[in-house]
Amino acid sequence: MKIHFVRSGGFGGAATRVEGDVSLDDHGAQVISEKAGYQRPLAASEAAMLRCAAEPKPKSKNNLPKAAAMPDGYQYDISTVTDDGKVHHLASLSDTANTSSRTPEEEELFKWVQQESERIWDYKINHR
Amino acid sequence: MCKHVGCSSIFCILPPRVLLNIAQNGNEDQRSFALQALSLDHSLRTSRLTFSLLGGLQVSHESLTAAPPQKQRLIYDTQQSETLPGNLVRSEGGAAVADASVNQAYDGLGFTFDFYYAAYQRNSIDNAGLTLKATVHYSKKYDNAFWNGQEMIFGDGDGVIFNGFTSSVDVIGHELTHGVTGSEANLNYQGQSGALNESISDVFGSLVKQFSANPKQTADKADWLIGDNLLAKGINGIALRSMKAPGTAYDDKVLGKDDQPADMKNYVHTAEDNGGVHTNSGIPNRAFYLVASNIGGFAWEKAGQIWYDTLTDPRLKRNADFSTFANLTVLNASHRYGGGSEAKAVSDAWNQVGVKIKKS
Repeated sequence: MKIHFVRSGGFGGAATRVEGDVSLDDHGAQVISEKAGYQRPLAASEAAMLRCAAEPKPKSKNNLPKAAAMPDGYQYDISTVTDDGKVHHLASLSDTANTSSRTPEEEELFKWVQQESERIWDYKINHR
Repeated sequence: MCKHVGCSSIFCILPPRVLLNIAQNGNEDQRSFALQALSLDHSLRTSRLTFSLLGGLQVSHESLTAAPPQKQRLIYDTQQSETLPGNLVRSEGGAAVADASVNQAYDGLGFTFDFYYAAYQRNSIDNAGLTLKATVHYSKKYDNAFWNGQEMIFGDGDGVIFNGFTSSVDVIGHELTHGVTGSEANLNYQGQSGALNESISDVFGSLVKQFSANPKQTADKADWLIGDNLLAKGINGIALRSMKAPGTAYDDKVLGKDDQPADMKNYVHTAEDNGGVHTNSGIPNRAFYLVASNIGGFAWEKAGQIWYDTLTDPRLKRNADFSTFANLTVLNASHRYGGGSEAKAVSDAWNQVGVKIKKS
């Protein structure tokens, strides 16, 4: 299974865009950002959280009203590619002051993607 | 306009700006009649004043009866954490501190407040004297600034690609203007309405920069760049955005190439960035630059006034697209200046960027 994530938006728009891929298979788990030249093996706890979060869910899982995006906040788009090759859009999560619009699972996934995006960006700018 | 009994005819023919001055400075009778006349003008409906970005802050419009507005600024410091708002480090009237970011935020809020009041008689973000709040040093090496519905938040930048986000007054004006938009048309932050939201912030952010320059800059002297102080040395770029020439601001191995289109035939369809709000804002940005350049003089006086009239026009709905906005700018230009050169400059600009003007 693979997870693909993209950070977009922010005041700088396309200038601060980040994307990465997580591969979860029998050989282990790692996150890669080819454009940034970044690679990191995942801890077992991270891999477990991501495997759980990446399982396609029924659309009615989250009935919470969607919070408005904050102007110039970041947007995180997360999709999965399951073993049968199908692409599933998992979530589009925005920086928002109203975190109650996210389920606990989404919040955990959001924080991981947010932090990993920062790590990739930090690596990218320091290895230019 | 004068449909109500008791409206003295002289107050019904005076233009809104004169009525506002009378309402603020006249004697009791004069103020009463001026307020009555103003209440008949659609522009006073800007006093709906609802922050609905994040659940709203409804404030009654009291600026006409209050004393001349006084800005109230509060600057906070999260000391590189993400716990908002942080520690209060400077408040209104307080002396400058050792921290340059704090002082830049304080001054930038002041310039923006002064601009809106001088140019459009707007008393703060909500036109009712709302306290202006900003937090600096948000998170660690944070390459962003944003408006959370109640205050502006600024990162320090990483120092490699980006300088601190308080270093550009247009960035501060941009963020505060999101608050103004939130209290007026409250354009949905998605698709074309979101790109308009972004563009309006770039427009007034740039006007704040031009207005606060010494000497003040006319349209032909302005650089029409957004965030020109943000890019660190060694980055191949002049700014984050160019309103004059969208798509040319940077071309760098880390940042990539500026992806803004300058016209509708290059409109970008994407689900990222709330439907490309920071990308497609290039189209209305260029339209404003063309209007301002064509009219000449100080851009906030006519071009900016037309855009401000449109932003505060109750006909501008939250889901407005480019065409609807364009139509309203033409209508507002005609309403304020007659159907002459200003309205033509506006319609020509939209034609040049390929936006069809949607008649309502």
